[in-house]
Amino acid sequence: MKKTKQLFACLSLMTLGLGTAQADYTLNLMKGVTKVSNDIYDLHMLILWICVFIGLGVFSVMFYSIYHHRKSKGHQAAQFHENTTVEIIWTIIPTLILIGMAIPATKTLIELDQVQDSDMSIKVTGHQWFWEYDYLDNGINLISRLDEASNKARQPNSGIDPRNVPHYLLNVDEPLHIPTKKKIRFLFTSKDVVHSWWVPDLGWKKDTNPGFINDAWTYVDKPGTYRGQCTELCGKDHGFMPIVVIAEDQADYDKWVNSKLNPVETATKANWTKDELIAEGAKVYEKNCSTCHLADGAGIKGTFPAITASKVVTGDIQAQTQLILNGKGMMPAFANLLKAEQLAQVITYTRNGLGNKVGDEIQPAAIAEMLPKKAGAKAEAKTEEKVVETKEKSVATLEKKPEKSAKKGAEKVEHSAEMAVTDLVAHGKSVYEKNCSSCHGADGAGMPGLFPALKASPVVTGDIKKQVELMTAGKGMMPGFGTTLSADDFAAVVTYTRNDLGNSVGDSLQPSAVKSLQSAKK
Amino acid sequence: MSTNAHDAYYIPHKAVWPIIGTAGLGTMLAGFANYLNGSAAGSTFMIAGLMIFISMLVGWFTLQANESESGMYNHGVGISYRMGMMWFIFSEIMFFAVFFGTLWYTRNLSMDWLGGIGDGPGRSTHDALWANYEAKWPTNGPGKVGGKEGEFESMGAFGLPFVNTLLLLSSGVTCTWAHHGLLAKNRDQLIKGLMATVSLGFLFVACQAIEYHEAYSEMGLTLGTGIYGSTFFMLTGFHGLHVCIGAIILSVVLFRSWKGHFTPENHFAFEAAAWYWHFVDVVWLGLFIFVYLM
Amino acid sequence: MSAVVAEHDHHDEHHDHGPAKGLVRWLITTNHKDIGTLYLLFALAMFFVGGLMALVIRAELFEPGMQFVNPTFFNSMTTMHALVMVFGAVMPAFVGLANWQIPLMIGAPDMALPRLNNMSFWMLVAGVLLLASTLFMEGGAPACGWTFYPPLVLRDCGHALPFAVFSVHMLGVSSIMGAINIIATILNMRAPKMTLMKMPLFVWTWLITAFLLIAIMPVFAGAVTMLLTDKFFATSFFDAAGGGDPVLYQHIFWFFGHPEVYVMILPTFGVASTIIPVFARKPLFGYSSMVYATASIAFLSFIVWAHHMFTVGMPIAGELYFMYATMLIAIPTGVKVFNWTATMWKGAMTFETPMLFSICFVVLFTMGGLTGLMMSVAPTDFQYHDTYFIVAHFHYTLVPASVFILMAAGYFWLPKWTGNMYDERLARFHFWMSAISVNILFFPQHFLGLAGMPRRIPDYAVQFADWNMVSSIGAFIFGFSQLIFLYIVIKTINGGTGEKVTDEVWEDASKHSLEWTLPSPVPYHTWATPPEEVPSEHF
Repeated sequence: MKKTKQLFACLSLMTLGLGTAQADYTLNLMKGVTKVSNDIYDLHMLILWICVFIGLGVFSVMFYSIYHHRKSKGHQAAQFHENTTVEIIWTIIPTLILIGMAIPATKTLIELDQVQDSDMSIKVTGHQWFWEYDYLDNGINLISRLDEASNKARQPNSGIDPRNVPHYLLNVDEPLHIPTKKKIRFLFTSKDVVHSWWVPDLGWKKDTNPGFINDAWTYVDKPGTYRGQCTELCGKDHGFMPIVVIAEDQADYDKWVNSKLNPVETATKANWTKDELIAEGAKVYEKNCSTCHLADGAGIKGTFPAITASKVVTGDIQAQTQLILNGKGMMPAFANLLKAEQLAQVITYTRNGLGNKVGDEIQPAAIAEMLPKKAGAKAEAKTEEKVVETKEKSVATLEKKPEKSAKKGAEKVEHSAEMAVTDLVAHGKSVYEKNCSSCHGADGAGMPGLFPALKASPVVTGDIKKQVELMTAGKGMMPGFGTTLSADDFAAVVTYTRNDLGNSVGDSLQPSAVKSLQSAKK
Repeated sequence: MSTNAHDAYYIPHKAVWPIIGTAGLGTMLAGFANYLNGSAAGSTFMIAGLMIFISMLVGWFTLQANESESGMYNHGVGISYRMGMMWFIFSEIMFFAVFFGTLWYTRNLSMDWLGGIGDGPGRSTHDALWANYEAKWPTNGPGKVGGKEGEFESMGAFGLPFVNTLLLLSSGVTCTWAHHGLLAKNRDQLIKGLMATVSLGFLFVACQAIEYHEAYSEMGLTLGTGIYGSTFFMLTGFHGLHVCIGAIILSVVLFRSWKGHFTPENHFAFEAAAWYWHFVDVVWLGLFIFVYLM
Repeated sequence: MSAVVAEHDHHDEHHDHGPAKGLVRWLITTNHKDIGTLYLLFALAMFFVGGLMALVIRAELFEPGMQFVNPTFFNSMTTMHALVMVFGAVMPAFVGLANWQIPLMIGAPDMALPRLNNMSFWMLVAGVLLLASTLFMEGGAPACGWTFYPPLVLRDCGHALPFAVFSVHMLGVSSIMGAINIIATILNMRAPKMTLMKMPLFVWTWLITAFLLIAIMPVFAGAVTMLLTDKFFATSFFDAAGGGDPVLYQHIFWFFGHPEVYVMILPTFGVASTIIPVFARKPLFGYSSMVYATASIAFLSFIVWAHHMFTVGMPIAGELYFMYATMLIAIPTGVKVFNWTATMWKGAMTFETPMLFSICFVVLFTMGGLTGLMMSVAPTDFQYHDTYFIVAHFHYTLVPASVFILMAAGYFWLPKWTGNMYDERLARFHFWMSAISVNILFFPQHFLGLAGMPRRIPDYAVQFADWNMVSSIGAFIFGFSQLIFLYIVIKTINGGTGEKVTDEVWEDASKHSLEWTLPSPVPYHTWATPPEEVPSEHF
């Protein structure tokens, strides 16, 4: 036994020595910058050492035995095969150790659950493949994507050495700012698939589930920049949607909030030269378009159209602009995602770069006129904030809450038969060709595996209201047409799909019903 | 357990049907997958595979029946078969447990979170995302998915479903009556009992078909009607499928009884079919309580 | 005695039933040894296919930046690597061992349901073929992780989804039929004196594993069926708008998934408990506590599933419950490790290759188990979850545990099955190459995970570069070392070292288990009359 002890002590010392040496290389868990993350770190170290000691204990006995009780040394095998006392001891001792671990673990877990009494709330929405942050208290909305330098370097065989890119894959264009010494509550949800938001320095990660809200909180003491990544497989670019949190003291944070709420009017340059537009446009393209259409504009056959020699890009500039503003098929509507300048730049770039030589250009001012008015964006955020603020009360009052107008809206569908079905179908055909046929096919056959067929589709031949909702809100790759189509066009195309393309449901949808249905949604 | 030279545990020395059946099933599923992906050839392969699979069933079961009748199976083999059937039924129970579990989870947990009832991980889900949603079973969710204009009627318990309960329960009785006939060497009772059981089974399926038709055509209740429609049709649909399978198995047993198969000592096929039928019966009782009544 | 039984066997009424001629033999065979061989060879082939996929992953991760594959293909590789290794390699390998060994060890003439046995194997092949066919399909193989979480799998899986779903159905049917067969064999076909508590532990662990399989495979089948209907038949199981919940899928999946990992580890325990006593020349320590520990682990496996989901946002009561329940698993698992250690204590050990692999298993599995204990603590799991720390953990419990024990089993029983001895020197070389490289491969992944590297990413921040490179080097050494194993196996089947082995093969092995009383190589038919006497574990 003496020898065992010596070996044991020796090995522990070695491990300790290694432990200190390893600290410089961040081989261990990060301590983090919050109380909870420190608690978790302490818990981690406690269990780690328990595990190391148990492991060393067992292995020492085993290796002692392997060394001494070998046949080649002439050891005679004993024939014992049980020992109740020993067996009881080695059942009870681990149980006690487990209880010892469970107590601090329970405390920390309960502390992590205390989301109430927060000073501010931020809603985090996961997207394929970027993060969206809504400050529920002041209406700031941020879209946070992988920064440009990393994005360039991570392209296959980019020729750029990631070692030369600062914070490769851990940097974003628009970091999340939070104040220090404030209890911040995060609400997590997702627009598409499950993601997971993890900043190791904060001590936890939380999944973002579509259709549900998860919450968590943090309280950061030390100003600094803290980096993390998505940790739930969310598709192609799962590895490329990092998180950057900048914690700063209240004064700096307020300054940042002000700059966000009242952006300094960077005196919109009235006239850009074509070369300027193209130069800037290349950057915008790289960041926003190249994921799908590829860096050289070649696209992916069958899925993402090529930009080079594209009919849209080399055709009418107004039509191209409309398409980019409103989106089409899998392509998102960029009206709300990019600024007028950026739009002008990228459109001009696509027409004069990537192998195209149309020669014309579009100015930001022209785009600005085509953009939908942004009124109400802030107001919307405000109401959302209120909703969340009233949460604690609302749980109690919930059952009494009057039912909103959803049903009333639905009733209206039956009234107001103003347009004949044939008219709707005729008009719908043109709307369909413009907005739907590129994905679902002119004959409604779709594209197996990518775009569902409309012919005999359960959605189209099923409940009309469900179809309207799907088309209003979008689903998967399909964009929401709620705002991009007028009520007339919307009603017409719905009626068309239900009564043509091989379907004969027989019902119709009136423009007035569309309006009431959509307002009921709000 | 013990075997001797005259009463040995029968071990077949080759088997052609398993690989044929596997090929059939594989072809059928590959065809179905292609069909779902929109390929035109899919359904052809599906049907071809199904044909191969059915011929395997016919061939293999004929072989088993003949071997059984020629006395090749000793007591030990019988025990193995009974164990096999028991554990197979256990696996079926676990399969249904998934859908009952789903029903429980959506009714008691996720619906409450969506509706803002109680405190839990979803405590803000209702207010932040689905403020208009009132959680009340039956539901097609906050998005009012499916149904007629998002509305639908749920299936009441005391109409056809109650009739169906009586049908299945009495079929359980007739099945046991047939078994008593078999044990008492009363072949007439055996055949009559089995005929009654099979008829009641198919009658049940017919009622179920009427119920489905009504749901689809009048009540706005389809497989796509939110979580209520999904759980309703998934549970009752898989049960209906099992009733069909059970009734077919019983028909085969009936056919064999006609041909004079089975003795009071040796009638594993009958027992297996009866066990299966009782299992289907019990699942229905679960359905009647948790899907229709509650 | 053994010779007498075997002779008797040959002059029995079965004398005309040798194997059928040619390739057809393998298609229509009902012989448990043939089917066991088919399973083992199939598993070996899949081990190399899955290994190749792992090498694609490690090659891409060798350096930061994207060099060889695109992210979607990378995700396909992680998904397929897992599915192939779990359903194509490890599980079939253990079923193969069960087929070979269980009838030999309990004194049964064959499996209880031989025709079903044949079908189990071919269903497995058909299932894996369905899955593999997606590799050559437009849109590629599933790239959504082997867990198939919705909504990702419903959005991004394209043409592969129905194939993956039906493949799971076929693999499920195969496993259930195999498990039913194993249970019926063990409960119904034992030699008269082979009471339950005299069965070798390998048989015990398989009895319990078979029960797990029958209970969980239908659950997985149900879960993927709901994926199918959500995608193609408009149901709303995993869609909040219709009243469903994507997290529901995760609950169902892990209700299957957690017992599933024990399906891969319990037979591992069984083989280790069979090999270690033979080379320690001592009876297994604490036989009955081993049985009870196995049963408790199996029971606990059904009530701890949500520890895979600590970060999905469960009610606090749920998190606490699953944390406590999970910590409990450490107790029976600890008992097992202590028992193996006590079996070695005061033995007269020799270190042939099967023993080397088994000792390595005990050490490295204990490490994997201890990191598992760390993860059972929910708050710390908030940091470890979905990082390389997890990857390191489960690979430690699968590669140097299940896979090493499978190799140990190969070295242990191949001489018995073939009558030929393997090349001991080469085998030891294989062992040391594997044991060292497996640690180079997986140990650094602990550091990567703790330092913050998420799993399932094709590219990473530069601070993770060094350890990834080390890990990749380890992976390639490990991968190529396995070619030695392949060579040894082929050589042993074709005559080995030329040295004829005795019936016992290993010194006094017949004291431990029945198969060593049969002649080597084992005749095509064995135990036509069951053995009169059976070895007692407590000799």
